[in-house]
Amino acid sequence: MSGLLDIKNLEVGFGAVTAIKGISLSLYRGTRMGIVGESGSGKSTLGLATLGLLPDFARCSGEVLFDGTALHWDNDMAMAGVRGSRIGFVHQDPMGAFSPVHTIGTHLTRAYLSAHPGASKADATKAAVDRLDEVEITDAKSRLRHYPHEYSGGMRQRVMIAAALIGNPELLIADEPTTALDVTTQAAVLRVMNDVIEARGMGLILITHDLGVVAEICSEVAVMYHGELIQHVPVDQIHEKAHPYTEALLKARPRPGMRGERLPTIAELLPEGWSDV
Amino acid sequence: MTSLILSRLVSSFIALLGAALVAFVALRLAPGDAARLTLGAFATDEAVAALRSEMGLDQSILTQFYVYIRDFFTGDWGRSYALGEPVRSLLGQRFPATLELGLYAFCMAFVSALVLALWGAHRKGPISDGVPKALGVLALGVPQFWFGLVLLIVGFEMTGLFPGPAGRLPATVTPPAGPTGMYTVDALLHGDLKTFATALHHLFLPALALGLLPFGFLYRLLRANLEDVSGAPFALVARAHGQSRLRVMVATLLPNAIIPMLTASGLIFGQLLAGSVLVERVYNWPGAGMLVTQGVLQQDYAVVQVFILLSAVIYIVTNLIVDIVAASIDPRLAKGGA
Repeated sequence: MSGLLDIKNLEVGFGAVTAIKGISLSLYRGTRMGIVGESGSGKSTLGLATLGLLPDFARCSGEVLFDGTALHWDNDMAMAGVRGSRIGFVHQDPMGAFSPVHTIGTHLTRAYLSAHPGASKADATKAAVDRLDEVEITDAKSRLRHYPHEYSGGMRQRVMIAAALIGNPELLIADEPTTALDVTTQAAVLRVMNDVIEARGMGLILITHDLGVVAEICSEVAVMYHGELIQHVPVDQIHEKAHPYTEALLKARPRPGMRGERLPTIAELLPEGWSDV
Repeated sequence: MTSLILSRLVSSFIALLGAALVAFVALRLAPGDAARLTLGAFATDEAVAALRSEMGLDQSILTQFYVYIRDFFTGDWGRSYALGEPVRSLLGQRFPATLELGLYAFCMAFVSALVLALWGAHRKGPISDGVPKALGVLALGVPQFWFGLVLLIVGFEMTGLFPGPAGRLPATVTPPAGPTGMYTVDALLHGDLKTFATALHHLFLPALALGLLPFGFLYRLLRANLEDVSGAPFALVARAHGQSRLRVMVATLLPNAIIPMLTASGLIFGQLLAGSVLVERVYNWPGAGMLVTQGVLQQDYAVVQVFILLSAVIYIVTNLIVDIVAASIDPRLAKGGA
């Protein structure tokens, strides 16, 4: 059986660097997968490669099938039909992800009209208000006229989720959606994201370096290290069959009761010679 | 927005007074006696003194300044002592010619810079991006009068496609009588398409010669800004929403990149009006440039003062419009006030 998203032997390089070294991965409908790894492990690149949004100088090989059909990254019009309306995307930077000279309403209605060509402006506005309600932005109708700089970071991140949902996609790729937010706001944004995904039965790829978030939201976890997929297991089994690197990652998390101690680092936790991969 | 416009109007008025003061003082400080220059070396001292008092030069400097400002706003622009004609009628004929030439040059520069920068940023090929980039560099380095001559040699002498340096209209065509003094506009207002086409034909080469430099400047500015904003996260996110590359370029990136180009446009347009004298010379264009250059050389105060103030007014009004347009594009500018 083929999944909602099948990544087959994907390889991505930038110049002399190979960011992703032949990854194969399947995500089934309704599955929520967390992709974890250190900075530079290639997890964000994986998300962008799927959407065909890597910079022009990136070299991609391999294949990504969405719902059984191969994605043609170099065909911008074909990809535009997939982005937004089949795969939604949430960017990690709520400050930079909105054009400062356009209202929130413009961002949302443009996203809606790209996914529903031929729909009326009124439909788009209605959808925008509904999605803002869904992510718990109060007084949505009048807030459409506001500019991004009039929103707080947490609100902007919720608006970004609303914009990603407005095309009614089957899969959401969220690239570190809460990294730029403070802890309380993080929790609120994650809860909203979790709720809307559950309500819609959408698939989720959550790219993060926060294992706690993965444990809360995801059903599966994929661990990446230096462009390779090291482990891919259901989230409740991560402790049982942990790969040495995954184990090291888990041990590197701060825990209550560790006050005053130094956090273990990955290098000292890994078995001898392991990082030479 | 209203507060922005109000504060801009106030600062515009102050800038105008400043320009008037500078024009006034600079001309008074220039060596030489205007009355003596007008009458020549053989005039009697009595005649010179009589002219000085007629020109108001024997009054205190403050009174002269007051009279100068008052007369400008009441429309009494004085008389050119070198040419013996009222400044109003002199500039009334000449200034629209310069304005029309400047407008066409500016529009050609702006539109082509806009289109080529968008095209190059969208399709980064050697032809779509490389050729305009090289052209942009060239445009900044080529002297206007030289380019004007080259255009004349190619467009008139070699191919005969365009009229020679014969001014705004051939002698056989009567200029349209009209409110603006700009022949293409007046011809259109009278529905005279034939004169419109002829006037346009005469405008093309000088406008091209004058517009090359602003084109290079505006093109490079917009192209660089488009490159900057195309790396912004919002460009990526807009595409992730399903908008095509081209649509993102025009609808999202352009409004973010165009504001410096608009600001520069305001400055450039003012410069085009004041600095078209070389091109006017090459094409025998009966504009204000020649008149004013003569005026400066002969210390013809009235002409020069009025021209400086007129340029200042246009400069300030253009920049006021630019500020308002920029603020309507970027809400943060409207908030910022001053």
